[in-house]
Amino acid sequence: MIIDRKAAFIGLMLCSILFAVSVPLLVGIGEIPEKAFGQDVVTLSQVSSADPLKADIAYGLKGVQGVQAASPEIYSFCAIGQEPVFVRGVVVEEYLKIENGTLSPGSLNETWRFAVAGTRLAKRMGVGIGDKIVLTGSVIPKVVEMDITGIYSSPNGGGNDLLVPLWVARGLSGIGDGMVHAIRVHASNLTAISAYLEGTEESLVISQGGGVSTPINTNTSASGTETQLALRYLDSATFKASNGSYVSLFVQEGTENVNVVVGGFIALEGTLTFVGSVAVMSRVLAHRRKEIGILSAIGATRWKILGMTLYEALPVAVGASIIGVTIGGALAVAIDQFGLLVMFGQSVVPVFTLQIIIMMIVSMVTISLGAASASAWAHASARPERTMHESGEEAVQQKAFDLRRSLEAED
Amino acid sequence: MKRWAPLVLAAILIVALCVRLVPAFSSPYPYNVDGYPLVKGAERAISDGHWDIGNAAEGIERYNAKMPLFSYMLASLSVVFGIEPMRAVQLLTALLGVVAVLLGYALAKKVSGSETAALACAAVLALSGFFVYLTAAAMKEALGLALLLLAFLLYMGREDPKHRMLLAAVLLLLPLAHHLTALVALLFITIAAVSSLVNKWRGGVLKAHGIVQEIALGPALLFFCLAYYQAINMEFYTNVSSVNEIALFGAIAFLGIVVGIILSLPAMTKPWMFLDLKPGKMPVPMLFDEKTLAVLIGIAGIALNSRRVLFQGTLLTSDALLAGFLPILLMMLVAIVGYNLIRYSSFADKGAVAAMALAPIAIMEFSVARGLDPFSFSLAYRAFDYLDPFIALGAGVGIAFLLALLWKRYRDAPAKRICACFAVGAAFVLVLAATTPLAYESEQLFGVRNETLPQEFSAGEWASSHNLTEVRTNSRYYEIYSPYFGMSCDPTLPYVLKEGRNPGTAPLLLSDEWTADGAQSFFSTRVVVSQASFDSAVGGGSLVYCAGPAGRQMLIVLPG
Repeated sequence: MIIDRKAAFIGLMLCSILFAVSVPLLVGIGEIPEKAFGQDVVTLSQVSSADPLKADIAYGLKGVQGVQAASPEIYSFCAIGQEPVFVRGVVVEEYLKIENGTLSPGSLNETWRFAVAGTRLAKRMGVGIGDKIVLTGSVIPKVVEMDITGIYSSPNGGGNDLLVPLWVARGLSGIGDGMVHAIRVHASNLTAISAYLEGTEESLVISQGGGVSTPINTNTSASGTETQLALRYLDSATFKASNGSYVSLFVQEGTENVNVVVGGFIALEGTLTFVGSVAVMSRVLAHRRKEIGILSAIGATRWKILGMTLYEALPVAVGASIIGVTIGGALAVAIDQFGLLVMFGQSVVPVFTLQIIIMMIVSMVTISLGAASASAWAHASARPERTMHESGEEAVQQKAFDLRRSLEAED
Repeated sequence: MKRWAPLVLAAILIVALCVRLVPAFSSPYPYNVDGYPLVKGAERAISDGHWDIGNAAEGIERYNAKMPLFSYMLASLSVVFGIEPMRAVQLLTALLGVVAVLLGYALAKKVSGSETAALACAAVLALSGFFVYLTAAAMKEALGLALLLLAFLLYMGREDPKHRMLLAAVLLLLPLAHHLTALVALLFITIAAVSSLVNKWRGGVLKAHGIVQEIALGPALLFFCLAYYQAINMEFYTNVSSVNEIALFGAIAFLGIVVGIILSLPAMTKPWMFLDLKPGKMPVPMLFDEKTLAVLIGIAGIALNSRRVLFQGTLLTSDALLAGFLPILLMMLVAIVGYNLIRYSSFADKGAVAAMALAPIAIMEFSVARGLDPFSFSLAYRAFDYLDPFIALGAGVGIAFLLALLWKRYRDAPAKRICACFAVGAAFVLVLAATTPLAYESEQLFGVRNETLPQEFSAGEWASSHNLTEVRTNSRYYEIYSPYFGMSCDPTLPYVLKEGRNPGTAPLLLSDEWTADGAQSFFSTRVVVSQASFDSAVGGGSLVYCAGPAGRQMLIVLPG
C-alpha cells in the first residue's frame, strides 16, 4: 500500500471541512446588500440625501394600478449592547407584504409603538416578546427604550432587522417629520407608477434590479448639500452618474465591493486549501518513501507507481471530500442557525447550490490527486538504492544545506 | 570579518544617518506630529527631575507619559549635550535609526554567518523608504524598533547567559518604550521559544531547566507588561482586554505558534523537496514557493486599487505610491529567496526567524478579525512596520546567495564575475535607493504632511502667549497644539466649515491651505473647504494673527 489512507483521509477531510464552511458563507456575505435593500422590488429614493422623500407618496401609491404594496422605510445602523443591529423604520403591514413576511404567534398588533424583531435577530440577541431593548441613534445622539412587541419571519432570507415605527426611526436617524429614506414598492405596472409620481411633482428616482434608475421630475444634478454620513464616501462621479439614488447606489456599490472582498477571500481560501491538501498528500507519501523505493527496485516504472498512487488516492480523495463537504456544510448551517457570523447587522446565510457543492468536491479531488501525483513522481524519480534506505524526513534533512557555505563566495 | 567590511559598514551607517536627517533641513521641528508630546515629556522630565504620569496633562501628553522611555532618552541627550529637546529630537531619532541598522547588521551576521548578507541587510534597513520613515519620524516606534532588533539579536545568542539576561531586561523595558512593539516582541519570543522547545523535544535534548528558562525569561514576562498596563490604565490596552478580545488574540497567537513549529521542522510537505537533484542544485520552487504568490496578489491588489476602489470608503492608491511599490516588489522577491534559504537550511533557529514575521502577521490577523473599526485599522497598518527587520534579513541573505552564485558560476572568468557581482550589487542599491523617497513624500503619497512649517508652530506660540486656551482647528493642529502648548482643541473645524455650519464661539485656528489642498484630518482624506465658507469664517470674527506665504498662511480668528 503506497498511501497511508487513514492519515490522508483525515488530512483531506479537514481541508474539505474548512473549504466547505467558508465558501458558502462567503457567497452568503456577497448577497447581503441585495437582501437588505434590493430584492425583487422597485425602490423610490430621493435625488440627493439632503432632500428626503415624503412618506405620503407611499400612501398615495397604494391607490395606483398594479401596486400590491408600498413600504416607506427609514434605515438606521444601531447597536444594542455590543451587537450591531440594522433598524428599519416601517409601516409593519406594508413591510411584511413586500417581504412576504409573517408575524409569529403571540406578536402584538401594535401600529403606533412597536419593536418587531426578525427571527434571526431575536435568536442572535436572545430576545423575545416583552423583553426591553435600548436603541441608540446612529448619526445623532438619541436613546430610545422599547419593548419587543413581536417577532417576524421572512422567506427571503430576511429576519435580521429590527422594525420600528417611522417616528422612532426618524428620531434615530435625524430626518425630518413626514420624511423617509426610501419607498419600496411591489408593483406590476411601472408605467402607472411613473405617471403617478410625475403628477406629484416630487423629484425622485425609481430604481429597479440590475442598477436601472429612472429620474422623475428632476434633471438629476446632485445637490451640493449632501450631508448624510454615508454619502461622505459616495461623493463621487459614480454617485452623480447614478442619478443621485443612494439606495440604488448602496445596492450596486455595496454588492460590487462586497463581491470584490468575497472573491478575494474565496481565492485566498482556495489557495490555502490547495496548499493544505498538497501538504497532506506530500507528507503522506513521504512516509512511504521506502516502500516506493522497494517498488522501484523490483522494477516498477514511474508511471506504474503513479498509477498505483492515483488508484489508491482516488477513493480516499473522493470519500474525504464528500464527507468533509457534508460536515463543513453542516457547520456553515449551524453558524447560520446560531447567528455566529454577523456582517452589517445581518446574519450571514450560507448559500448552497448544486454548482457550489460540485465545485468544492471536484476542486478538492483534483487538488488531492494532483498533489499525490507530484509527490509520487518525485519519490519514484529518485534512485531506488537511496529511497529504499531513507525515510522522507531523512531525505529532507539530508538535503538541508549549510547556509554559511551557500552564501560564501569562495568555492 | 573581511578587511573591507568595516569600511562598507561605516559607509552604510553614515548614509543611514544622512537619509534620516534629511527632514531636519526642511524644518527644525519634529518630523511627524507624534513628536510633540514626546518633546513635551522630555521638557517636563528636565523641569520636574523625575517621572510622574500624574504630572502630565490629560489626553495625548498623559498617554505618552505612560511610555516615557523615548522622552527620557531625549531629556538625557538634551541635558548632556545642552541642546533643547525640540532641537535634539530629530537627531535622537536619526541616531536610533542608525543603531537599528547596526543591530540589523549584527542580526544578519549571527543568522547567516555571511558578511555580505549582513551588509546587505544593513543596507536595506539604511535605505528602505518605509523603514527610513519609521526611524526618522519622531515616534516611540523608532525606539521600539531599535529595541526589537536588539531583542531578536539577543534571542539568537540566548545560549550565553549574559545575552539571556539582557534579553529579559529588554523585554521588561519595551512596555515603557512602546506598547505595540512590546506586544510584537512578546509574541515573537513566545513563538520562537515554543518552536525551539518542540525541536529540542524531537531531538531528545529537552530538559526541565531549559523549559523553565525559555518560558520564565521569555513569554512569562508578558505578565509584567500586562500588570503595568493594567495599573496605569493604558488606553489601547483597555480596547483589547475584554474576554472576547483576549480569546480571539489567544486563538490567533496559538495558530501563530503552530505555524512557527511547522516552519521550524523539516519541510516534508513540499513534493519538490524529494526530487533527486545533483548536489548543490536547488529546485526553483524551493526558492520561489507559495509565499511569492501572496506577495504578487498583495501587489496586484494595490495596483488594482489604483484604478478602482476595491474597498468602499478607502482612497485610490496614488500613482506615486504604486510606482514606489515596484522596487519593494523586487526586494520582497529577493527576501523570499533569502527566507527560503534559511527555511531549508540546517540553521537551528529557523523557528525564531519565522517568528520575526509571524508576530506582526498575527497582530494583523487579530486586527482584521476583531472588527473593521478605526482601532483595528491603525493596529493593522502599524503592525506592517514590524515586518521590515524580517524582510531586511531575507533580502540580505537572498542577495548574498545571488552574489555567491554568480561568483561561483564565473570562477574561470575573474573580470566577468566582478562585473556581474558589481552589476547585481549596484542594481540592489539602486532598488533600495528608489524606495528611499517614500520616507519624505508622505504628502504626495498619503496626503499627510509630516514636517511642521515655521508659521504653523509660530501660530501656536502666539496663541499660547496670548492665553488662548481653547481653539477650534483641524486634527493636525490638534496633535501639535494640544500636547505641546496645552491648549484645548476641537479638531472638527474643517467639517463644520465644509457643511456651512456656524463655527461657534471658540477662537478659530485655520490655514488658507484648506481651500486648495484641504485640511489634514486623521483617518479621513483631506477635507477641502469652499472659499466662501472659509471667507465667511474669517470675516465672521476678528483676524488677530496671520503668518506665512499665501497658500500656506496660518490665521487666528477671534469670534464676534
